[in-house]
Amino acid sequence: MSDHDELTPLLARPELLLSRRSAVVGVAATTVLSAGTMGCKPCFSPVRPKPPTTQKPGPRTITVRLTIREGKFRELRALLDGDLDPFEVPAAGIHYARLFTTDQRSLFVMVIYDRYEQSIRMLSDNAAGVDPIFELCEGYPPGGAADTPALNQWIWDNKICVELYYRAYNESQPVIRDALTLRENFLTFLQRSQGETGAELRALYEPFWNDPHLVVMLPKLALQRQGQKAADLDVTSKTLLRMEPIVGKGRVNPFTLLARVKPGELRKVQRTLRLGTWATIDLGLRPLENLPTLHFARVSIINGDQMLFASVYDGDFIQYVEDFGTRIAKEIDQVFGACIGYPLAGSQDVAQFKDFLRSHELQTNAFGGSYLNHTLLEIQSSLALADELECFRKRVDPDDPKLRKKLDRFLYENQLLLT
Amino acid sequence: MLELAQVQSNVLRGFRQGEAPKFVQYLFLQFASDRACRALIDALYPLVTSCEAYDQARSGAKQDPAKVGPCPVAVLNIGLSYACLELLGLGGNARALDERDHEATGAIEAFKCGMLERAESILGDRGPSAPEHWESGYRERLHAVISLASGDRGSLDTLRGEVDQRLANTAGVALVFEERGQHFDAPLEGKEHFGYTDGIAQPAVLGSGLESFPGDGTPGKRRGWSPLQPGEFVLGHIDESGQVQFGSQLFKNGSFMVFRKLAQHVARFHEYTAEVGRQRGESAEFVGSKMIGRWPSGAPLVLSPRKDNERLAANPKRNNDFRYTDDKDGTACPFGAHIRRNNPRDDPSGPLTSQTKLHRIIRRATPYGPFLPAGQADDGQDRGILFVVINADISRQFEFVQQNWVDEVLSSTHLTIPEDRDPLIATQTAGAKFLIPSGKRNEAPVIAWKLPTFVTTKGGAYFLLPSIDALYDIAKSIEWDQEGGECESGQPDENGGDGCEKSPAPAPEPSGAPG
Repeated sequence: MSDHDELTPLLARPELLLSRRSAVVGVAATTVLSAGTMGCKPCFSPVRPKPPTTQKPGPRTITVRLTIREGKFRELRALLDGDLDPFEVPAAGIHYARLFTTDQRSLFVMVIYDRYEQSIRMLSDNAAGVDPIFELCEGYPPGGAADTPALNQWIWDNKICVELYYRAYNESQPVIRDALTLRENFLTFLQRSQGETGAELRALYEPFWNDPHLVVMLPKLALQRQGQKAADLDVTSKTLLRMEPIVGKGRVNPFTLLARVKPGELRKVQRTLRLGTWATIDLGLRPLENLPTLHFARVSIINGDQMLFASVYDGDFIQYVEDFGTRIAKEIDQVFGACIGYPLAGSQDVAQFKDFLRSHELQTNAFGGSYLNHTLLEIQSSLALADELECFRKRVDPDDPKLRKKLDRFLYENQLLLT
Repeated sequence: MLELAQVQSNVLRGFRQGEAPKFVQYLFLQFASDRACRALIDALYPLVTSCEAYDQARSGAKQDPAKVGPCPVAVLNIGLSYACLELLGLGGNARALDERDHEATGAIEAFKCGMLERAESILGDRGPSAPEHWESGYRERLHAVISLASGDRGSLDTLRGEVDQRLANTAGVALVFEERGQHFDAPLEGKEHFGYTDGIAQPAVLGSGLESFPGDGTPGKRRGWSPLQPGEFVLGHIDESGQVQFGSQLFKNGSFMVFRKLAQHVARFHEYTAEVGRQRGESAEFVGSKMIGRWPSGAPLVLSPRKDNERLAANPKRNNDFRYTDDKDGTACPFGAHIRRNNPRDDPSGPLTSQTKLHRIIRRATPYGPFLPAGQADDGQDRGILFVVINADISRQFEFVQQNWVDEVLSSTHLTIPEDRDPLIATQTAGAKFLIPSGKRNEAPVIAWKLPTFVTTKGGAYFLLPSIDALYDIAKSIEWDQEGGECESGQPDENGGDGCEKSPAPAPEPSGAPG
């Protein structure tokens, strides 16, 4: 069957002959259709498409290694262990940031941001918090963090290569913040509109319809739902980033690991890490998608033979380790298996694997993020609900006579996004 | 095969549906010195029941050991807290808790800390359940628990009289307080205060000598179920991750016991379920069953989604034989339901089965306080259950379930709002809700808003249930081999030759035979 055979009835339809463009679309669609029925993939060119060179939007990361000035390590640790909060001033577009030391001479700063300038901006806004720390490092500009161009240059000079970068979502921080608020408020709306029909329902639906992000709707009730104090509710206020040193166990936790790679295994590991990433670090290691609690992960090689792994995960450490050992045991063995001290039986030996991670773990001295109270699944589910709600809002206006029926149908179709 | 003559009977016996002892007493003790402790264990040692003795008593009463049946005799078991081990000089850096006993994984850590310390941070006992509101006895430094259980009151009273006599004869032992529980009479047999049958799904243990029912073990790739490795419940045996932990003499053949006293707010439960039901034209029973995952009779919602099915519930081979792959979207059993959270089986949205099998527990719950039927106002009486968990690793099993599945939402990827905890047993926050997915096309799901707390923790503690041999050694102050656990029976050791050779005393006399 040739393409023309299929094309003829399409061309006979007058609405497809309106423009040249629609004819082209028709040909393309037919080609796809016929290829589909013949069981092979559509291919328009013998030359494979080039890998995308433009950066995909979404959270990106920078890892900076700073050299601590000789003899200043104790002072630095005292600062980090003390009350000083390096990321006190809120900033826009930052997902997570952390500070930690690996040895007496190295201080690491890791930031996950939407745009690079925003991370510099965050540091310079927090001059009061970061200056005392960075002043103990070599080459820090005399003007401090307030001197943005100098700070920028200094950070750029000290950044290190990231072998692998994984992110669980591609949305920017404001989008996520809005989606979380939206779901929060939608649930409040549902609670208030339960059993209501007619005018009452319409009156409740109207503010929701008017303001898609519902940022102003019923903030008090939203607060009650979360059972939090007003100051903690960073998603609805202007406070974009609440950075705080970790005290005890939060809902979202950082994990940092440093392990020595076996001699001779380094090249292999680097290849594994970069494999399937099309030479950009954006796509990352696909298997990590199977972990429902992992927000971000990064791997760098430092000092020539040490693997630095840093991740952001939800909840309990035991759960996190077991996820590694049960969901992606093979893949994690490929990467961590190259490290000295890795259990012989691999990550499936949960107890030994846990011991390996615990014994190589580094203390994260300062950690902060925009949604420390929201798990990955919560973020993903909120984003999905936000999309659905946007469509619903476009389709159904407050004067719709079948509002209750349509709302019920919407709830039925999306009931799993509400739990 | 497990050494059943070594394992105390409350580890592997009498926990399944239909065989729970009707009367239960827990005596919580404090010792003035290690000598008092040893003296008491010495005095009670002949009364301690092993699994083998339990089976013998059952065959004496002409019961088939493999079949389910009620407890025929009065049994006595002893549990020791970490404070007691310290008192005996076995705690801290003593070799009994050496490195090979896997301190790093937290197995010992939880036991060392005790429930009181971990209640708020790990078990989620907040608000009215917080330790400062616990009954005063549980805030003491408890040393030991003696649990007595029997199918009839007479034999329990005889045994209790015997225990009381020996307690009185031992200097330096204080009975701090006691708890008494009792299952309800005939029409409410096997039910707890909310009116639902309890204790159905229990893990099947390899080598326990018990018949395993479909649904009790780990779901296999096909329709079968495989029993769990004994090391998940008995220390010193191979566990699900293929390891043998706790090899030393103190722990081998022992187990860890979690005790919790949970008060149930029965009137609140009935009022709330009725209220939610009224709004949507459903019965209170429907809402309550959706929260639990089983109908009042015990029939699982997955097998009987529309209505209760007493015949199904009465058949132990069928009432637990279900999988959540048959209910992928949660329309029969909601994702947040109590039984689905606490044992996600093969839930496609939940943890993998290889992960779930690391977090199974043996539970036994005995009600205390008078029954309050539905529809009656709260009479102000204290009622609830005495809840006991048997597991080999408190932090990996009991605490994990409590922390991640009851109090958080990690049992299913469809559960994403952390405020929505276990509807039945968790301490709720102001914004808690429970969603019952709708199975009817285009009909909105039922959302139960403002979920109140139905169960409050009144106290609890962690205990070690040592093996029969370990109890004997503690009573007789026998030192273990320096290498710890390498000492085979029949092989003389440096402490006088008979330390390890000593076989367990002949099966302790079960009941009614005061000396």
